[in-house]
Amino acid sequence: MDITDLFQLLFSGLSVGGIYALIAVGFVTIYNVNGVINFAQGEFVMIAAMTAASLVSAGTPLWISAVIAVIVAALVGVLVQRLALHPARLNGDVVLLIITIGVSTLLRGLALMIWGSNPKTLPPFMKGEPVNVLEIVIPRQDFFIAGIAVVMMVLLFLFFEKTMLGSALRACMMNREVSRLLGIFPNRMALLSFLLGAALAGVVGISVAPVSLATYDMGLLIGLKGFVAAVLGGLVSIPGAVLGGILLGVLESLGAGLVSSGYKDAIAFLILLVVMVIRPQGIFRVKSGKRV
Amino acid sequence: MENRNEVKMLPNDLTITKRIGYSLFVMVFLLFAPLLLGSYFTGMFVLMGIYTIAAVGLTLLMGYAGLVSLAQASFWGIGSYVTGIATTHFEWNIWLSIMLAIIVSAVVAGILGFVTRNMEGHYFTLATLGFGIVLNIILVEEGDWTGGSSGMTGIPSLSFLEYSINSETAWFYLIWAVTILVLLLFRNLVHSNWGRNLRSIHSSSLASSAMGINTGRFRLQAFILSAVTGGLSGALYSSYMGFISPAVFNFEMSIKFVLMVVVGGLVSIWGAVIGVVVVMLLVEFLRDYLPLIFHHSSAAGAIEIIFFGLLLIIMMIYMPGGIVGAIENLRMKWRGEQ
Amino acid sequence: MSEILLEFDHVIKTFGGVTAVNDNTFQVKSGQVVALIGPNGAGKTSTFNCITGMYSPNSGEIRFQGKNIINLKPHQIANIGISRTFQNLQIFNNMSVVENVMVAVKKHQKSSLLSSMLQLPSMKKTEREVREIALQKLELVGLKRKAFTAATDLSFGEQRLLEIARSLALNPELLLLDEPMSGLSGDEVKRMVDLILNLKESGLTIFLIEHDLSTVMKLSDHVIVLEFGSIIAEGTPEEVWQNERVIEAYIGKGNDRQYKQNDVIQKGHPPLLQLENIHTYRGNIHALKGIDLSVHTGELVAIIGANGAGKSTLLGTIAGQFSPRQGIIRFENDEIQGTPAELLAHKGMNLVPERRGMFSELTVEESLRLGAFNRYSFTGISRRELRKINEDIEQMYNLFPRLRERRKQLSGTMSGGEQQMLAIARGLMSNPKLLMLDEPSLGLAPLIVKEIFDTLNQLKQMGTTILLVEQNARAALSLADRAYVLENGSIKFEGMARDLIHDKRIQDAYLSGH
Repeated sequence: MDITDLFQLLFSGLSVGGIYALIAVGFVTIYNVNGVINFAQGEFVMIAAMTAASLVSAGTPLWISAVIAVIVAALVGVLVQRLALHPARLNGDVVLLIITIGVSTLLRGLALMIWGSNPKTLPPFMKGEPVNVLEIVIPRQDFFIAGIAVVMMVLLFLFFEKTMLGSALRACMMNREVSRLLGIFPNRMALLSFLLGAALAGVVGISVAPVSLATYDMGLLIGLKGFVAAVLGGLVSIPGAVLGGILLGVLESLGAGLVSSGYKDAIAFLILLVVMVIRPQGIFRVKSGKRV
Repeated sequence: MENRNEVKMLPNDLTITKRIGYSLFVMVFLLFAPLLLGSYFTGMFVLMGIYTIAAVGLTLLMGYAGLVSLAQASFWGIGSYVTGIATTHFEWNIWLSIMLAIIVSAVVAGILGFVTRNMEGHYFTLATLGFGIVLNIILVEEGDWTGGSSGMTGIPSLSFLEYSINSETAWFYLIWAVTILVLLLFRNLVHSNWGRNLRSIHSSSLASSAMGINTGRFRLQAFILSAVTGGLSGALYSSYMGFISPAVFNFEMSIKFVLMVVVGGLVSIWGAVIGVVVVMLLVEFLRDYLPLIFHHSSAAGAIEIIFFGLLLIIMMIYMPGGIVGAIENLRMKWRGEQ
Repeated sequence: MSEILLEFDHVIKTFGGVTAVNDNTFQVKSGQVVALIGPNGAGKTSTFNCITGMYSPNSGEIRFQGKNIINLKPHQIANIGISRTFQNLQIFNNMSVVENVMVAVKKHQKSSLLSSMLQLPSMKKTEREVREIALQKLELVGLKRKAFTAATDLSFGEQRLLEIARSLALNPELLLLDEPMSGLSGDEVKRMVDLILNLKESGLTIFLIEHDLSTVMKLSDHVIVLEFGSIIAEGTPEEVWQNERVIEAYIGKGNDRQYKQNDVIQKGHPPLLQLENIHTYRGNIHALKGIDLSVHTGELVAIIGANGAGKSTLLGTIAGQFSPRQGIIRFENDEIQGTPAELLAHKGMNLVPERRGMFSELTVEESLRLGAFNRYSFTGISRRELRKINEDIEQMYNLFPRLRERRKQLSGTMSGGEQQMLAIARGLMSNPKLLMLDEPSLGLAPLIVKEIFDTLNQLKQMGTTILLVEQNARAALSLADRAYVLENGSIKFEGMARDLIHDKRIQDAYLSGH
């Protein structure tokens, strides 16, 4: 492998990593507010991708379809929180976990019924020949993906750091009981976390659909990778999730050069196991003491 | 899991006479079932028995150790494929192949379980999901051994000396004999000190380690046991069907196992049987009647998946103890009113 | 002189910046009852966790029967003869009482998975023996008649006894009891004392954490006193009882400041807050047993009492964290019992929680702004209100100049005193009609406590209505206008703070507990 190949892999790793980071942020936000790993996170990605693809094929302009698709994903997220998780919020961890597994299954089934099992395509947002930078060939859609990831990160930063609602959401993630004392409604924050997580997943869906085909069962794998990214980041911090996503993207992209492409999807899982063995508290997190 | 429907396991739940009565009833039913059911339903009951074996192990893991595994279909697949490869590529005897399948499942679970032995609930579940995805990739990629996505055929049926077991009825008796044996072994296990220790870890791993219990070891053993039942079930499945393909051992099947266990109830080993039977009958019912409502048959697979998802959600919200838990609650209420 | 069973040798355990166990050395001698006492947050449970392998110390050695046990896992430590109970009960709630105890009986060492599955006769025999042993242990603590009920159906006091029976089933050399009396009624405490003395009689060595000094006096041969992670005194109960530093650690130092105290209860107006016959349960514990209390606008009222008296439950009940089972709470003439905390926060009530409740990844300024969350609305906020909030933040910086220096620092990285200041300032940002403070002096050095109390005095002069819960009775009484003394979930007596400060009954309430 020469140096240009390396750079090429690096760049595609970074852009894919941005995608993983967005899903991971959703995982982390939902996990810390609701106390459950949302298994259906990948299905939100799928819903946006499928919605956008079918709107476009029905003649709706690409950008409008994309916006509608993200809104649909976000609404589905809100409904999931309200209808499935909220009624069982006192039933314990295992119950909540199984419910999100059920939600993921349900959404996949609905997608299969509505859209069938044939893959759908979405036209790329940036058309034209791949760009040649210093002999590195980069598809234009990669620029779009990287750009979207960067824009979303900036928006997330502004939301979490500069708005009252963002601070309230973070406070609720860190300490739910105390945030109640300040007048923050945990139920509304739970809803907000799903709205945000699903919208982020929706953005991911419309950005990856043009590159890899959209299918009803695409959510499993991409969801798992988002989770691995979140675990790399320690599952509690948003910056950690972003770093974890980027790291995973790069590792996966470099690793894919080494093994046959069929096994590419196994890399994320290997990384997950390695991290679990070496540093279960995540790479970017210091372990803290627990009160007994 | 501290849920309100958790059933207290106390001695003297059933009197001995009642117990004998129930067992007699079940045995008589099983003896005459094939005669009454006809070959289609007999075949279905064979599958139920096979699923029950895998579900029992998963009940142990989920209900007693509090760990949700999304890899039960993967161990089921390992069992099937090891049997398939050993019998077709190496022409091993089918019984030996089944033994090998069990051993391989145990070893794989041992490795995966060792790595994940200290993981908290959510992590463990996603690790098993990842494992399942990887296994499916392997099954498709290693086509020379596994036949790739088209699968394997020609896996021999079970046989005793010269007599090969071919009829549905013979399979029915064989499978249910094995199933009942597994159920009894696991019932003994959960009622032994081993099961008690496992339950203590589920309730408070802090206290159980303070009471001298090596929590990681027990979790690992529970995981291996559940994988063994998965492997055995898969091995029997491949021999019964004679044909296997990676599509059967996917995530959907793992969800189906979780669903069966949850519907039956996590609090008792018997929940596994009840869950399997109820879910299979419901699916059968859906297959028969839904096309009448929806008109186009292509939606049938989708409707099954939707049904699984909805059932999981509804069970968890309204009946987290499953059918066994609900019955138990009713009984307590009834007792309380007396 | 009896032999040394357990040796704690220069052990240090830190969490981030907090030192829970500060280079401590002590010994537990065979056959004795040794008590570990000290105020909340002194590092008592951390010490236990180091011994039982749940924490691994940063440095030092812990020797049991002469062997270093520092690298052993919790289950290994349990199996060499150290057994413990937990302050927050850890009953196996999915089992019967006798099964709980059976878990700890080690007679099954040789039984394999296979023999369990096959239920070999030998298995059944051992199982019967194990049940016998478990029943004996239950008889020892007086729970035998409840052996076959579900563990969750036991009362709180019985669950404490069950934990002890379970620990005894390990046949330990050393029994660690973490606050065995907390949450127990007077009769139950007597039974527990008798039980512990009986166990000692039978030759068991007991190391216990307890806050109730009178029981400690009755029980122990040797007492170790911790404060801020360090040992401040050690000796026989009599020696410790005389030690002024120990008494200070418990009821706090008298404040040399003279704060201006009002001596008349304001009448004419209805009180801002009024409680009538409030009963609150926490799990199985009847934590508040009929509390009547009132706070008038402009007053500073203190609730004092020993650890475990129900002070935090009382504040939590007022603030909506816990729902009372019975009684009425009136706040500005509205009945608010059972209203959730987040709604009360919008009604002008603010609780600064115990242990400060920091959002560790928010900066000081973000935390302060978040304190004003109730002043924002979902439709946005007026420019005027926003300016007002910014002015208030400025004012908080004037009140606590140290916070201004650290405005961009993450609150989790600050010292305990600074965090407490931030917690109070954050509470004030909501413009509360009633500010409630839960143990603002907890775990803080005397100088910082003084600084915080000075500020509270300033707030009081500015007209803020404050309800203060304190273990540091002397400091609280020197500041408050009125005070209630809480003991075991009931109000023992009340009065003007300046009258109570010299009341001998206060010391009794603290030191003799039940």
